[in-house]
Amino acid sequence: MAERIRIVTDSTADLPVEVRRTHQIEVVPLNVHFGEEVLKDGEEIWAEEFYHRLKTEGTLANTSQPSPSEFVKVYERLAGEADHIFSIHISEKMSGTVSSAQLAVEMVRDKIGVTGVDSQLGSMALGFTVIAAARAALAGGHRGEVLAAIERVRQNLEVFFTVETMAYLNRTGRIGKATAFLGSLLNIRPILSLAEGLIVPVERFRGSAAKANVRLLELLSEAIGDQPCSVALVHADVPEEAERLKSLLPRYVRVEELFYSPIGPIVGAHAGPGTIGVMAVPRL
Amino acid sequence: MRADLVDGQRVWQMLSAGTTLLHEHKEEGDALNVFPVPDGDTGTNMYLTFLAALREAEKVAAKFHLGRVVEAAAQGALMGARGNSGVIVSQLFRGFAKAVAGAEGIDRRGLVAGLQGAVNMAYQAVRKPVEGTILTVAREAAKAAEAALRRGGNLVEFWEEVCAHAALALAKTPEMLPILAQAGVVDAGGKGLVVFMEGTLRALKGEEVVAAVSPTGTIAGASIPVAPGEDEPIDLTYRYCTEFLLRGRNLNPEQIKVDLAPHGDCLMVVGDEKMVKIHLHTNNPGLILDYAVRLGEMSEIQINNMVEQSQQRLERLKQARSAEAETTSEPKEIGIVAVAMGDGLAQIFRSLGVDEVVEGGQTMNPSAEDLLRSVERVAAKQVLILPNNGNVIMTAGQVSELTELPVAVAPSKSIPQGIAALMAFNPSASLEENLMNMTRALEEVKTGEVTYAVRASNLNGLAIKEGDIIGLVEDELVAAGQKPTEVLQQILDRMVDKEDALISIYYGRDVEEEEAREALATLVDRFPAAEIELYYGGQPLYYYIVSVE
Repeated sequence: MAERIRIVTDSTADLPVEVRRTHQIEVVPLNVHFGEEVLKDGEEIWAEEFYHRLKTEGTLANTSQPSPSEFVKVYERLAGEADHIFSIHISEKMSGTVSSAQLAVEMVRDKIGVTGVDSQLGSMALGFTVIAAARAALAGGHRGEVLAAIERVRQNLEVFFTVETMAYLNRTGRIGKATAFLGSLLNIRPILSLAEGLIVPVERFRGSAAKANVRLLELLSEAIGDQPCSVALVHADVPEEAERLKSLLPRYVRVEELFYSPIGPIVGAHAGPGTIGVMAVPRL
Repeated sequence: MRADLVDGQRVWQMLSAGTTLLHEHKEEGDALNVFPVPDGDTGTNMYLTFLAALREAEKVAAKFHLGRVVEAAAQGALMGARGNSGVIVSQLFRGFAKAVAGAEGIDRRGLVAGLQGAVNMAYQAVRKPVEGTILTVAREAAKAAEAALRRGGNLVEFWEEVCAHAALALAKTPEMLPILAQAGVVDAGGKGLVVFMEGTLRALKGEEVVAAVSPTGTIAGASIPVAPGEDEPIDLTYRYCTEFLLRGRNLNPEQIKVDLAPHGDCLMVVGDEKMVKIHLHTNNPGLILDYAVRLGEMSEIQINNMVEQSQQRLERLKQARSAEAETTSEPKEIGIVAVAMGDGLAQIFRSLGVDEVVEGGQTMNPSAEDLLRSVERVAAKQVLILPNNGNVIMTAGQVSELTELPVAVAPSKSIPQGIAALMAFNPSASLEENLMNMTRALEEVKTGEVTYAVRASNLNGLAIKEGDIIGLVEDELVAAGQKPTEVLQQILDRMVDKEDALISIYYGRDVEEEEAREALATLVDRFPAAEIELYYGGQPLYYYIVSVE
């Protein structure tokens, strides 16, 4: 009988609840800190409430990785129904989540085999690797096939996003190689991407947020070409703008399936409200 | 010395006399700019380029050896080339030097070969040669030399004929280039070459060319700043670099020179009876200003403490070095050098990641050597130059010949083009990729400028009086009026072609912030769907620089 494989990720993947359910994906929450108050992402606080609190309380939020025991709990629960687990997480260069998971992997070694994976990505880009892995597992694929599915996404993924201000990324040190875009005297929207586990600069855009967002679609179209794609559109508290982009999307890319989700509190705390991202891979 | 032979000594005399005569006529050359904009500086550029050639030639110990003198002059011209005409002059020198390489002296035959080599090299260097320019004048001179050689005659008669044909070709430039005819001028670069040749002829004839000021003396010193060594604080006799514009009636630049000369060095007084630009290094700027205030109205006054500047620079260098040592000892992959005038624009460029801002642009084109110095200061593995002025692009192109570093030039013709190019700069991409993306980006922005007319003119159906405010779109004169704000609006009416355009306005040194804000308010009403941004540029002479994208 084929090996039963299950997929675990963390809450930075911004996976819609529906997708988690249909793909049998387990999500370990990171923590959101408002001062002394610590809340579990997706269990005690959700995107909408998070941005509301940012706005109304005028405070900034911090985040922390899950403790190893959070992972242990999930791995042990799955041990009864699975033979192996892939635990796929946010880039190690952006969060300590992978190291927490790695400790947990050692702790459950006698009960179940777990392969920890540093996706080198975040948000729905990480989500794509997780969905691809889950689909490979659900189709009865063996470990090699699951790994290949993850790798295929990582090789072919195109990501572009823009933030309203670099201040959030800069404040929490997640700015990566985009420091070059700091400090401009002109009114500029930075357009960014992910590479080798870090945020990297793509170009600076002069003009309104609305135009910069459309520029994301142009860049995505240039990068991915005419092939049928799985596409994700994520936004931090700008639903109207996201809706507008969603309606424009088909003009720029061949959308075979679309994942549309808010950016959760963890990524939101680091990228800031107003962030919008688009990403695509050839049909998963 | 044989009477019909040009040796090193004689070519040196010719070079020196030609440069001196150019100095006398450089304001004439400046005034020949096609557009009556206050950035006409071809005469000055030509002079400074020849002067750089002369200075390098001066260093040759074996002055008897023509080949060596000319080769040194060519090297000097290459380093000192300013503006497009200057670049072409440097190529003429280079071609001439190549053709006569190794010769201790040349006769008329050698001169013909030299001129032919010069012309070939210059035509090669220009991507799209335009007739009716300095190129035409040089070519006609070379052609005349061949004819004159066949006719016979002595050296002086020969060279006289060559010079006469050059002057004739210059007079015909308006027939070849309609824009010259429309402006009622001859080509400024060609004019410079003819003046230079006239000087060389006088030297051949043994006539003395008397300089009001020695060409290698004080005036020149101001124009070619001496680069202080990287690490030593510069030793300065005079502490304050003092610079201002003086407007008045019946100003006498020559008298001002005489009056100010005892109070400092690097004195430069240029202008006419209505407006004079004064620059000098002194220990008592107050005295200078006291003197000037009695003659007229001063503006654009700048007094910089050069000792402090050099100390600050040293401090910055030290800081930069220690910071570098902390983070990484690796030089950055791509450094950026940009040319700009005005403190506001310089700051904007720096904030966009430019490592070195070279002062210059409309009023003063930097030389290849100025750019080279900045390129070398950047401490990067590769360097990208943004000339930000059509007249600096060719000079920037020469830098790669002067350094081992890979240097690329993104051909930005204006400040807005430079800014647009920087938007596309990606520090983690390759030089080639950046050059491609930046070149594409800079073509997508439209540039407009508001300045004033330095002379009366009749262009594009606009009758312009001296002092009128004029508006240019993509270097084309399209509007005129009495107030900068009014002309700004006129050019924007032409430039804005879609409702939701992004309009960026950079206001200059001569515009009050309040005035600029009022202009902005008017424009917001006029273009309600556009995004309009206003920034302080601090550029001289240009009230407004605007872009539409």
